Amino acid sequence: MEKTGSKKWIIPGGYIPFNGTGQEPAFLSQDRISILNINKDTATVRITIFYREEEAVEYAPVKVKGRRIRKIRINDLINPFPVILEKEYGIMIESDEPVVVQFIKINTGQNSLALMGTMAFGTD
Amino acid sequence: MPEVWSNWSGSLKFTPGDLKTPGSEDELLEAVHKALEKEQKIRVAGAGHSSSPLVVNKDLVVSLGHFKKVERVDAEQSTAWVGTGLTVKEGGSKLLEHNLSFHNTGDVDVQYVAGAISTGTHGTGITLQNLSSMLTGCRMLCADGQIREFTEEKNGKDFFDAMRVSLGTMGIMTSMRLKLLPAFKLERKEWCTHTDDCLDNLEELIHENRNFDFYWYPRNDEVKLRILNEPGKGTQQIRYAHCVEEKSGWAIDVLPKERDLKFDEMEYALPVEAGPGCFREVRKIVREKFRKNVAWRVLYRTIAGDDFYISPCSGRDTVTISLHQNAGFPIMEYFRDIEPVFRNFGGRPHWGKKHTLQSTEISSLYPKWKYFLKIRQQMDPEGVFLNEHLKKQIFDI
Repeated sequence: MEKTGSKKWIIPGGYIPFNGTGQEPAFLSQDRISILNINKDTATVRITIFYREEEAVEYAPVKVKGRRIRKIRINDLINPFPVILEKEYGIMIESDEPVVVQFIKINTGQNSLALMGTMAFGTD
Repeated sequence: MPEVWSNWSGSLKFTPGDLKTPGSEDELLEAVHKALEKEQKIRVAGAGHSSSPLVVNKDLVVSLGHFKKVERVDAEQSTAWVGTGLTVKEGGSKLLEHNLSFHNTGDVDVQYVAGAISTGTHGTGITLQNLSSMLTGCRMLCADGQIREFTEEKNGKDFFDAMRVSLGTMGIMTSMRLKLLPAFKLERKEWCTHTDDCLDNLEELIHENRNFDFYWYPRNDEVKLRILNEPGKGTQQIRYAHCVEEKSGWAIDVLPKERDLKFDEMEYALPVEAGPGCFREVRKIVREKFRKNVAWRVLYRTIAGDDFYISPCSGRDTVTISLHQNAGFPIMEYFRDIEPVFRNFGGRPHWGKKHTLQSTEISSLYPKWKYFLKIRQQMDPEGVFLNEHLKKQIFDI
């Protein structure tokens, strides 16, 4: 049976504000990805962050078990380097198994909470 | 041509005049005698996990990586003589074969036991002293080129209170007699919660458990509580936290964690009562100023006080707070900004980690500083075992 999802996902519009309001982590300004693996096999996922000026940074791979979701806060990526806040970036997500990726932004820098979620661009 | 020597994180690099890795005491004697004839300085390199320039030397650097024997085991007294080239991991495994164990380890076990002892390296646990407390005897190549054996019974408590944390400035230890424990098992449980809940329950967590520490994550204000106890003892449930990891086994396998991400570190040891206030101040500054670039956690640990002359825990039960930053990232602006906070709360720097203190500041932190210098001077009158960092920045002699 054909597996659902794509092996490569692109998110061009990353930017994590420095400021936030409200108690963390619930009201932390953040970018987040949700990875859904509805297939049976575990997916090994590699995340690469691209910047305007600096070299791209490839992060340590993470596993997403079959028929599971995994949420990753971009703020928390650290290996090999932290993602810099208040800096524009884009994301490439490569997986050895088809997965589905959603991108979520939360900006609590203003008193009124702002949240946005959108599908990433999937391609093989 | 001597190779460039680099520490674990890569933040410390230098080319020694000569780098020797003797296979025996005879080979060590030969290398040291040659250096003494040339009036050279000698420093011993451990595993290189330290990031302060204790090892930097333009003359002879000696690695004792072949000195890995465990011998003269006394099961009744729980003591053993341990080679100074053993890492904590290797030493722990070998001692387990004799049903013995270190009482504690640091967060990692890659250091040489001798390096950990000489720098006052520690784990966590309010009733547990740092690793140097295990040292009750040593076999040492002295500044006159002779090998001698020292024990606390023969040479006295004062001598060993100076010897235990001595930064490799007394001589070259080839073997150490350690006071150990019969091998024991531990359960590790790790819990995630909000920082405020951790701080509200801090005293209870510290005193209910054999080993307790917490990591604070600057980018989300959460903490990971790390608790180790003998099976069935200590805190079993935490209503305000959720358990994310459980592991049990021999202490030497459960105490340390594996780290593949390299980092540099600044750590200060504070009076235990100053810990929460200092941590709150550090947390505030990091959140307001540094977390744009800093995502690495801050580690909060406790250690029992001791009598050792220049141990960071000397004379007081202690909290340590350590800052981490990814190796290869700029670190000193971050560390320099937080360092005055540690100082204001009576902090003493970890000897093996980054700090900027000079001798006048350091000496004022240790009531027995002069006693240490006197014994060190007797052991090494010509300063054979001092590099420029020790001579100028630390001892000012």
